[in-house]
This record gives sequence, structure tokens and C-alpha cells, in this order.
Amino acid sequence: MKNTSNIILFILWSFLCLAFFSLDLILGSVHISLSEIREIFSGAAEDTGLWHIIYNFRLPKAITALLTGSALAVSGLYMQTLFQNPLAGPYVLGISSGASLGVALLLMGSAFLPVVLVSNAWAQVGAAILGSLLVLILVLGVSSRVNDTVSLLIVGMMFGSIAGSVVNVLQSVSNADSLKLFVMWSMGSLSSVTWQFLNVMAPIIIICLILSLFLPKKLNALLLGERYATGLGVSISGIKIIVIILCCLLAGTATAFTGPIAFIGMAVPHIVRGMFRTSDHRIVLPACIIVGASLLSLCDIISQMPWTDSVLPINSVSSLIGAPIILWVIFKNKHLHG
Amino acid sequence: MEAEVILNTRKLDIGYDKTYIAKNLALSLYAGEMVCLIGPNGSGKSTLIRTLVGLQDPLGGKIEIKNKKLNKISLSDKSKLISWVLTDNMPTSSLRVCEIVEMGRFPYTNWFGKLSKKDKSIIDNAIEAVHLTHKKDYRYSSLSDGEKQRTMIAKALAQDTPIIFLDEPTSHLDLPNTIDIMQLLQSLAKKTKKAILLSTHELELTLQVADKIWMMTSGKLKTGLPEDLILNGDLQKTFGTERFRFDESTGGFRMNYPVYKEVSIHGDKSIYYYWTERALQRNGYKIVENSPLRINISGDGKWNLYLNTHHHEFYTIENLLFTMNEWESKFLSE
Repeated sequence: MKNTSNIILFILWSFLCLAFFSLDLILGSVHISLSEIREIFSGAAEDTGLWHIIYNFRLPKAITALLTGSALAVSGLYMQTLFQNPLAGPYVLGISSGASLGVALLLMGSAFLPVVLVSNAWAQVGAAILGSLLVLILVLGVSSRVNDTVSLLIVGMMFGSIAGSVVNVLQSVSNADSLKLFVMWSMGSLSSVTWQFLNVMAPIIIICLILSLFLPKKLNALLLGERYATGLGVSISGIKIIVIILCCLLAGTATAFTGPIAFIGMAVPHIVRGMFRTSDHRIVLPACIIVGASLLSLCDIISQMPWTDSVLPINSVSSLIGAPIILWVIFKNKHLHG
Repeated sequence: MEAEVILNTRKLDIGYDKTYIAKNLALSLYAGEMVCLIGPNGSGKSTLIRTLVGLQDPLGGKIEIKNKKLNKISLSDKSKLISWVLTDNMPTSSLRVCEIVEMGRFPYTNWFGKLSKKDKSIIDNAIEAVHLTHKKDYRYSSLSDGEKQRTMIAKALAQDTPIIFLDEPTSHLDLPNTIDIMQLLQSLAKKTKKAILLSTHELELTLQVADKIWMMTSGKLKTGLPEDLILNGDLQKTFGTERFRFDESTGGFRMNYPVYKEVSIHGDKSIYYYWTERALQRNGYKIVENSPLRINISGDGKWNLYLNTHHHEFYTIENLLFTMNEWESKFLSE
């Protein structure tokens, strides 16, 4: 923490994060007042209908929003540093599509797999992580040959659409039951995450985020380019492997339960660099965790369309917020290099 | 007093795959000296530097730094012995100058990169040494090429290693910036007792500032003081061609112009004489003892041109040459 303005920003975002989390609990199609919330959490209103809504529905959803937001933001930051490309991110480079492919293979290949494996939360996460790892390694391989921003994005989109096509093929050849399972997942939102899933998702993401906090110094060295980083005593292959694994664990796990969420991973690091006015990972990385969590909570609040009966897909809300930020990045690219 | 040997190589062979670029090199770098590595394009300067810093494996022989074999030194120990500045691969970064220089302390700080008071003063000194104190909070991408290069040199200084390698640090720079960097490196070598090796194409400048020269040419490497390499003719052999030659008396290059006209010059050997001679040579004149075309140079900036009975006085070389051409076609061309 270099100066007081950064500390103020951290405190401000922590408050925002807390505020959005609380609002996420309070707001929704069923109106619940603050006093009722207090009753529920003090244990006075146990086993009522409202208690069920809060405890089994809104609380896991709000926690999922925090975790997924942080996970996507940090994996986006990793990718931007790794590729030295300001427009990299899990969604844009097809990592999320890779995770979808993994889950699709699992759910629709269920004819060949034991049922226990298919409905298992761990299996779903594993499939998503392997899928995203596959795409990331492919994109990384190509990126060593094409070294400009735009080509890399096109390559990412291509891999993304290949993964998407494979998913379509799978859909048309799979049986009705497994198709239903997959369609349910692909429309999935933060609300589809139950406590059972959260028990798997939360430990993975939290451990990865904690491990991330040990990396800023080496990530900073990577900003100088690989040869300079080597000169500073950083083992490039070592840090790359760690970053790739963490990146896939974070993006894959987040996607495994919520479905693809666009642009959060790419946009949050830019918001953070713009606000904190630095590229130093010692500040940017923890800030990404807080800002990512806040922003996805906000998206979730908007997607619930409080005081109405309809619900928007979270993916659309995050695109509406994220895409303009990306456009702004492209226009103002000068100062926002990784 | 013998200076300390920091790096030496024995029977070193360098190259790619199985293509040897140079063989059997025995080199030594001493503390406090600035060595310039020169040689024509493609002679293997970058390969040598990459091999010496360990970014590329040698094809044979060994490299020792402070009496330890280079390939036995761990990456983190090496980062306290060698630092480098590269031309290629310049990061297009939004980092600030002070943040980049701070990274030089990377090998000495804890996992979070916390800087001690000593680290901070080393960083400030490094930035001051390259005259960038007024720009320490500027973004790297907003700097000029010379300032970018100086930032990376400051990073290398902050790394506080006994050896600094620089691969063509002046190749994108204009002449004033080039001179600035060269002088800076030379004084740093003296002041900080570091061994500094840089590759460069700035031959004339190199001869003035280098403590020692490593000259690569067709698989061989000659080392020595700049003056010795001039006197024994090695420089002329390496860099001279049909079109230009190395002038041993001035330490610069002279073009070999085609000669088809003759003129004789009279006058004292002043700067007027020198520059008139240069202009005449460029225009294809050979200076001879007795030519019907004569120029008389007086030291006060006047030129008198004589041909048979014709005579004219000039105040610039441009007018002199113009009339010489005229007379040439009028009176001498048959």
C-alpha cells in the first residue's frame, strides 16, 4: 500500500462490497425488510418461509456472486499479465467456452458414465477445469507464434467457437435426459448454486485466491518481459505453470456452476488499474478480488430486477456493464497495458 | 595493482545448434572497466552476450563468474551477479519509472517485495545516476527512447551486480543521447567498480570511451586497447572496404570516392585546409602537387582559384566548387 489514497480506495471498495452483498440478500422478487433479515439471522424466525428464501436461496447466491466475481477478476488479471495483452480475459479467449465443453462432455456423455459421477459436484468442477485448461494451453501455444493483440483475440474466439460447435454437435446426438441436464446448466445462473455445490466451489476458489496473494512480486517481474524477468531470478516456466493452473482452477470452477459470465474477468483489472493508477500487482491483485466481488454482486442485484417479477440472465447484465468498459479500453489503450 | 577478474571464459565455443559462430574464446572481464563489443552485423555479438549471461548454452568450453561455473549458479544467485539491458523485447508497459527501477531490488527483497530503507536509497541513487529524478513518476510508455534506455540502465544499477551487460543500448538513439549513455556507462564503470560490457555499432565513439575493445569478425575475437587495435591495423582489416577506410590519424572513417579530376592546394594546414580537402575529395578531386587548377587558401576564410590566366576569389566552399565545375566544363573537358 503505497499511499493514503490507495488505502482510502481499499476501504471504500470494502464498504461497497459489503453494501452490495447486503442488498443482494434484501432485494429480490419477494420483499424482505431489514428487520425481518435481522430476525432471520438472530435465529428468531427459523424454519419460516422467509428463512428458507434467505438461507437456502439468497445467501448461497450472494456468496456465489462474491466468489465468482473475485475468481473471474483474478483469472482475467492473470491472463492479461501472462499474455502481455490488455484485452485478454477468460471469456474473450475462450477459456469459459472450454469449461462449457468440459461440462457438456460430462453431462451428455452420461450414457457412458456411471450416474454417480454425472451428478457429482466434484466431477462437474473437474470437467470444467480440464476443459478450460485444454483451451488455455492451446491459446498459449498459438500466442507464442502470433504476437499481436488482435490475432490472439481472433484465435481465442476461434477456439471458443470450436468448443461451442462441439457442444452443439453433442447436443444433437445426445439423448433427451442428458440434453435436459445440460440445457439447465447452460442457462444456469448464480441462483443455481446450492449449498452442496458451494461446499466444493468455496474451498477451491478461496484457496486459489489466498495462493494468489503470494504471487504479486513475480507477476510484476513478468511485466518487464520474459528476458528481464529471467534476469531478476524468476524462473519463467515455473511461474507460468503456477499462473496457468491457478487461472484455470479459478475460471473453471466459477464457470462450472454458474455458466459462462462475460467480460467481468477482462473489465475488472482495467477498472482497478484506472482507479488505483498503477499496474503494481501488490495493489492490483487484492483490489481485483474486492472489486470483482462487488461488481458481480451489483450485476446480480440488477439481474434480479428488484420490485418486478422478471429475472434477467446474469450474463446479459455483465455484458451490458463490461462491454462498454472494453470499448473504452480499446479507445484509450495507451495507458492500460498489462 | 591488478584489477579483479570478474568473468572469464576458457575454450568457449558459441553458436546455434551445430553452427559455430566463434570458437575457442578466452576472455576476461575486469572490475571497473568498460568493454565495447564491436563487429559487423551478423558477426555474433548478440550470441556472445546471450551466451555470457546464460540465456543460451555454449557449444563448448566454460564460463566462470567470480570463479564459479556459470551453469552451476542458481537463477537467483545469478541475478545478484549479472544484470542486463536488452534492445529487443522492450516492454510496452504502463509501469512508472520508479516502479521499473524498483524491480532491480527484486533479488534482495522478500516474497512480497517489501523495500527497506537501504533498498529505497539504492533506487533513488540509481535514478539519479541516469539523470531521471525529475521523471521518476512518469509512465514508461510516455518516455523518449533515450529515457527508456536510461530507465532500464537504472534498473540494472539498482540490481547492484558486479557485471552489467548491454546489448546495443544505443541502437535507437540519436547522437547526443548516444554520447550521453556512453559517457554515463564509462563513468559508472569507474565510480562503481563494475565491469560493463556493451555491444555497439558506434565505432568512432567507442574508440574514444572504451577501456577495452572486443572485436568480433568471421569467427575470431580480438581484444585489446582501442589504440593498439588501430595501430596494428586490425580495425582497418575488419571494417575497411573498397568504399571507405579507417583513418588511423583521426580515428574516423573516410569514404573512398572515385577520383577523376585533379587540383592542387596551397596554404597553411588550418581547419580551412582540412574541410576544403574533404569537400574536394567528395566531389571527385585528387589533391596533387602540380595541377593547372590551383586553390590558394588563406586562413581568414578566403579561397582564391587560379586556372591559367583566370582568377576568382570566394568566401564559401559552395561557390568555389560551383565555379570549379564551370571552369572544368569550359576549359578542361576536351
